[in-house]
Amino acid sequence: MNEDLPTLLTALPEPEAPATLSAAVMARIRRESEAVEVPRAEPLRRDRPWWALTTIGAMAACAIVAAGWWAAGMAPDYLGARIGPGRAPLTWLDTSMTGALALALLGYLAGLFAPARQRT
Amino acid sequence: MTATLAASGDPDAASVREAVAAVRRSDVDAYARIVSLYQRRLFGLMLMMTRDAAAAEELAQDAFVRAFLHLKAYDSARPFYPWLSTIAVRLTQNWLVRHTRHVRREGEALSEESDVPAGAADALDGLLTDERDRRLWRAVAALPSGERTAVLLHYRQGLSVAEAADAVGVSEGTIKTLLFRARRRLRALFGDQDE
Repeated sequence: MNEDLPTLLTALPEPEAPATLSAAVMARIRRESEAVEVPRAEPLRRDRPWWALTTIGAMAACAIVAAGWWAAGMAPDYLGARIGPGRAPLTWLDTSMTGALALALLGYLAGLFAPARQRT
Repeated sequence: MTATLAASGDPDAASVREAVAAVRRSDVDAYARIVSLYQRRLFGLMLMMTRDAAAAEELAQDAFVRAFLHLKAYDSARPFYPWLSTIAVRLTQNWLVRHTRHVRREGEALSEESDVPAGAADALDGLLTDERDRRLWRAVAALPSGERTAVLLHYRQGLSVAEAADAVGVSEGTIKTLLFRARRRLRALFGDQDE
């Protein structure tokens, strides 16, 4: 029996596969392929300029504030009194630099909320 | 209409490699070639493991779809069918666990044909005109699922012991033990009736 078993089992007739098996498999595969493709339909490159604006705005604001303190030769006093006649300023900026800081912050905020504006 | 199983090994390895390469280049329709090459063999394996034609068809579909979705994990240097059958066997094992009541009726004494569940042998019975083939099929169908799987994968599908072990998810020693036990059960039945 041991030596005949592989021969006997191999000799058993093999049933035909159902006629619809191949078509059903391919139909399911095509549905799976289409389902996978949908999330990639929206390209990400549209947001790239806005992220650049956000980054540049944030870096510019930090640079302007740092430049003000550097020019004044003083470190920012975050622990000092915030009210009363003896308070120290948090930033040392003249009017033009204040305007530049405002523009930098506006650019940062515009880039940050651009994707939300696009989706609405 | 029916045919005996060919010798083990991929029937057209080069064709399979080309089809796999095409699918990996996003040619989904090329996968139909792979399905047509292996559907009969895989369906036959599922049918013999589950003894349920409807379940075998569904499991064969699931196996082909899962193989497609995980085609990136397939090593093109190795034969395709053992990899495909591993997926199919694992799916079928899960199916068999869910149908435990049928599995627990197996393993009873094979000396009485009445011990074979009523619908178990019907799946292939209609194809078997030879009485000895019918007895052999019913004996294999009545084996415990682990032994039956090992016998089908190694002797009928032509997988090596290592490939069968990988398909089932056990060690080679376990497969050898299952094959030994299955041969002993089948010998007990056929040895008595053939003498």
